[in-house]
Amino acid sequence: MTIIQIDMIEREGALQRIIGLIERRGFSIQTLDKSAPMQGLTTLKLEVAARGSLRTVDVLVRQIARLFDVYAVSTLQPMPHVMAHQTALPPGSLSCRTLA
Amino acid sequence: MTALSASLTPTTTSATKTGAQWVVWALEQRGVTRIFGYPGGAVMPIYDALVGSELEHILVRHEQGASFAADAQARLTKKAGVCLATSGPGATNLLTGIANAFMDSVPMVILTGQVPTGVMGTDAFQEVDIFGMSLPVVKHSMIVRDAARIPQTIHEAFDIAESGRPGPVLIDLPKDILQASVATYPIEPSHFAQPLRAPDLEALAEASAMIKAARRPVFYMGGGIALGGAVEAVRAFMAQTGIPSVATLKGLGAPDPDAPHFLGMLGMHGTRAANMAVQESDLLICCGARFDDRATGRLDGFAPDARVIHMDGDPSEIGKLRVADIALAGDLKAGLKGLKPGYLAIQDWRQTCQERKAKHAFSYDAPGNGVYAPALLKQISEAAGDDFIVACDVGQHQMWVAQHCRFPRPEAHLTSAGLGAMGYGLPAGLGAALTAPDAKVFTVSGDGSIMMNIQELATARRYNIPIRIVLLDNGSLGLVRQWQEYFFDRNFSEIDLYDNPDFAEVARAFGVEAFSVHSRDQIPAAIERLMAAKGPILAHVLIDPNENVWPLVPPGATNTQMMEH
Repeated sequence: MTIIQIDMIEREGALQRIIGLIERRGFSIQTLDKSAPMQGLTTLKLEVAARGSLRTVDVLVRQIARLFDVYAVSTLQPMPHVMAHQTALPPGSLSCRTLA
Repeated sequence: MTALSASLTPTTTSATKTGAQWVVWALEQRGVTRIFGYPGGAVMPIYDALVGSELEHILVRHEQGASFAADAQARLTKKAGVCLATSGPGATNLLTGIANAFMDSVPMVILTGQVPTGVMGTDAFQEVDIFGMSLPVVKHSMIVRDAARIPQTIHEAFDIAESGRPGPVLIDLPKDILQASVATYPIEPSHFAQPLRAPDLEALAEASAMIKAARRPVFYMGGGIALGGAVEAVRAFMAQTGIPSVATLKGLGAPDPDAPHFLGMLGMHGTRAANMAVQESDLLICCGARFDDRATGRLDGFAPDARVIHMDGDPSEIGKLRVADIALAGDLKAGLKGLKPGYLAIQDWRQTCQERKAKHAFSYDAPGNGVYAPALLKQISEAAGDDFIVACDVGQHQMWVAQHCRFPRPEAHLTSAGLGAMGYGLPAGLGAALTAPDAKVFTVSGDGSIMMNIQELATARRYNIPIRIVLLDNGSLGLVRQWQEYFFDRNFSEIDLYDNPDFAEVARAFGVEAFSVHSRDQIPAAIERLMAAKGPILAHVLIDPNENVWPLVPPGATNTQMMEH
């Protein structure tokens, strides 16, 4: 189980897009907490679990980061270290967008 | 006011136009000259605005044709292709084409009409939630709810579609928004364009050392090379290193087809030389490929002894299916130029691969006087030379094209690779022939696939598009039949197309020149006639109904377990 925090830009369909991606990419959402929008951003905290052994949170985080409705995405607990290390990408927070 | 909304605040106003007129204006501003579409109720304001505009509209006969034609144009130009359809069935008919563009990373902007905002969500006539339906297969999508936002939205859609890893972007346009008369704002530079990041220098140095140390390296090329504008860098890397190389279906055309160390396509229908090299390798340099299941076969048996350097423009592809020992996410061109392995002591390995390539080269001396499709396709691509462009359908003929045609550049090979959508070939060929009128554009189709979008013969005739259709007719759904023959105990189920129409007669009924080819001795004249055509032409070619695609890696097997004749 991993907790993912997403700062989501408030746009039509953004929540649907993020949830759809997580489920489609092989994860189930155990819990979901959504903040009220503030300054155009909403914070989501999701507890996710992989449905198969091939699925890694590290890859999921990068797939979430591709979405244009995502401002930043991070894991709130250490990711499985192997992927973060071997992809040579910074573990933890991935800042995706600028607001300005 | 929020930080986000502040960036979108208009500063000045302009002349008043309808939303539909702003759509046309914004497309023209973006440099669009041609769109593919089909009119209908919700999108009629745009069709009204198109009259007298600078945009050329190609009227297809089914919306799926519009999406595939726009896809082909985009693959050739690297600029977003544009298609337009109405709400409801018009929009749903686009979905296969949108999914196709998503799977193959093709930049497209899809404009759909929508019912007026006041009735959205009420099950109004021709209302579907195309925004929601398309979410899994778009790079991004928007519903416009303020007509004044139309130019900025279209501008952003193109930025998103064309930058980074390209893909389709859908804009849903409610009818009342299209009919509203508004002033709008100057288009601001969007912050959506995604610059490619520079490769990590430390990782580049490690990768160079890993290549230097390898004894059996293989360079594994995918469609990301063309997307990343890295074809010349790839060819230079191959020439400098002499590393044995293989390509995926989408990677074909990235390497010089005559490069001495290029071993061909890998995977399910790959060459023995390519598959064996990969399986025996101690290092895979994966460039713009994604370890697709059709390339890898059984994943846990794929290149079992190889370490992996994975280069890709999209960071989320790295580690998705195969752990990378070194990741080089970002600009492929810069990454390739930054690899400096120096002299490689791999002469024995090169020789092993070369010997296997020569020993297992395709043979074209099939017995009899029937048309041997692989030989025909090879002859066609050689006759067209560097002007060759082929748009494939999906099935056995698609694999024969990949195996036997010569692709001087990636854009010569238009194929529905990721989605495998039958029906792609004819409309994609039309889009390609309109985009590259001086090229020798062929559609290679089968008797199954052609029927998926045969109505586009009318489009070919209407615009007199110089498309050369080679229809390989084996009277069945050949690739399904082949699988039933080998993997379902010859329990043939629903693959017999014995009642096909006479396709040459059908083409002529559409006003398209057509002829039939029954035997091998007719081929030279047929190729000459196809090459000389100035408008649409169809060659209906009867082939052996029992011919199969070889080699074949059975499902669930590793790539060493190739079946051959």
